[in-house]
Amino acid sequence: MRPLIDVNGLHFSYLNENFGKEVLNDLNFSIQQGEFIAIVGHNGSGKSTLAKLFNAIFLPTSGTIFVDGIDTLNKELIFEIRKQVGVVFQNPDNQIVATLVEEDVAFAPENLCVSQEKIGKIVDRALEMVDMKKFKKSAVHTLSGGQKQRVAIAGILAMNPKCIVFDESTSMLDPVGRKEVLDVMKKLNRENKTTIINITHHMEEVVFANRVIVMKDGEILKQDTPRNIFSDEDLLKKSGLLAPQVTEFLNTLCGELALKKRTVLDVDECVEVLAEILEGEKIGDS
Amino acid sequence: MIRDITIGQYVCGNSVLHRLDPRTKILSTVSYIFALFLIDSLWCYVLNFSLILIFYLICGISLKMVLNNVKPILPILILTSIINLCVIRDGEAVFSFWIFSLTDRAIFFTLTIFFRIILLIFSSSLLTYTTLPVDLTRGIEKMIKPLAKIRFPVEEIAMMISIALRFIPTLILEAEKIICAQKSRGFNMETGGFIKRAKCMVPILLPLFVCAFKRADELAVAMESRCYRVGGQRTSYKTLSFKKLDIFFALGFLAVLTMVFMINAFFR
Ligand SMILES: Nc1ncnc2c1ncn2[C@@H]1O[C@H](COP(=O)(O)OP(=O)(O)OP(=O)(O)O)[C@@H](O)[C@H]1O
Ligand SMILES: [Mg+2]
Repeated sequence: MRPLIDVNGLHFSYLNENFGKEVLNDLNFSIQQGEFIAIVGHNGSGKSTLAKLFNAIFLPTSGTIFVDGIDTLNKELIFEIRKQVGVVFQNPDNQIVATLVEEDVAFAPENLCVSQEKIGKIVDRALEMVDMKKFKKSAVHTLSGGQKQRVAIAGILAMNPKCIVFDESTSMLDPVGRKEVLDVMKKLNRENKTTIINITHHMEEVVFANRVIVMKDGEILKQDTPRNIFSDEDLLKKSGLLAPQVTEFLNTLCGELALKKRTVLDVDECVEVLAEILEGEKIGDS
Repeated sequence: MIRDITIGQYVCGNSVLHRLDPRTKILSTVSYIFALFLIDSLWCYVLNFSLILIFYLICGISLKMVLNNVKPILPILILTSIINLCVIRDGEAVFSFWIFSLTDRAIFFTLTIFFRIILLIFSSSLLTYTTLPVDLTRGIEKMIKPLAKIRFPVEEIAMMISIALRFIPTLILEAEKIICAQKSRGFNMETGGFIKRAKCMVPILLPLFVCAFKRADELAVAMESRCYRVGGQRTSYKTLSFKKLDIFFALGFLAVLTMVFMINAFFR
């Protein structure tokens, strides 16, 4: 099957004062339709730069990126590319254009010259998907952070993209807001088969991904399932990442004993493994 | 608090004024302001003032809101009034004390200026209170559309205005945060003379500008990501249309303004 995003020998450096410094260095990977990807890595490892390369805000210095078979260097089809890959950024305040929720969601369809009756339907559908329909006529500045970010997502959904990139979209939100946004991501991936690329520093979010891409200084260190990533001690040390709190908790609590079992990713698994270990101790005692 | 300043804010409602087409309201406001600067009889100012008060009553917006907008410029207004009173010497003296004398011309002139500024704020605030920013920009866009023929960037200007209005509440919140941050470092902006206070604005405005530029940068990327292109063709989510109400209002308003001008010409 043709991958949705195909990155080949990608190099990138900024053309300003940092010129010459390779921000991305020979990246090769592809992403299939319907995948849930997490990209993690230290500050300055080039994640945001990569996100902006996916939808042709930046263009590769060398190498190629194909989005749904279209080269991002193709200037004529640039809107086609941006329609396929939407990006939700970190600060909801800086990506909402209009004062009213419905007007903001309508921004992209307006740019794409969609007719008036159709825009109405698109706006309703997009707000429905993020569960913000009752705020359709509200002013954006009266909403909470999580609600604003969901409006921003609706603004992207209005383009009906095949893939949505979340660039630290939950990092400015409180736990409630973060859960709201995360739930929207999961729902979109499950129900619409939208490809989700979640760039994040929160390891608890990484757990939901099918595949994790670990980056460091513009290079990919490893791509694998969350479980394999978090059981790779060397990799974690090298990339400066910490496993999720539950994983760390169990490892610290039980040490060798836990490592011999399996890497746990959430609270339920942690409880299970703890029970197994306690069971084992009992048998050992008697 | 600066949060109380409500310039450019919309107040939800369903009054006659809310339902008018933005173009009707913009034109009415502009002609009202023109009238303000053309009339020179005190009675007409009183008339204009009551007209605005009636409008505020109709749309049920409390005067407290607009008074908050007047507050920041009140010191300047009072200062200029005092200077006017002292400096203007022609006309007959009504009252004199030592070297000072108040002339009837001075009092008249001062009152005129005072009324003009206050009514200017009252009327322009009323426009934004009753009109959604999007409608306002759409109205302006429609009205300056003919200029597109001479390559005037109509859509871009409209987009700029709507974004500016959109960011007013955001920047006000940010200014408040910056003030708090500076205060917590022992920064004092409540005391001192005029010059000292003016200097105090620097540590507030500088970070505010830096933040605004950073925001603008991010917003530009976000807009491009959503397929915006400067000078590109766009459609509109909602369109404007004149209704019967607009015609009635425009005719009525025109009649009132004509009456004011007539009074101004004949009763002085
Ligand atoms: N506009 C720019 N001009 C020049 N250099 C830049 C620019 N933006 C980022 N960089 C540099 O590119 C590198 C990668 O930055 P990028 O923002 O992509 O990292 P990131 O992985 O998103 O980091 P973070 O986790 O902090 O968001 C950094 O070394 C940064 O200094
Ligand atoms: Mg980043």
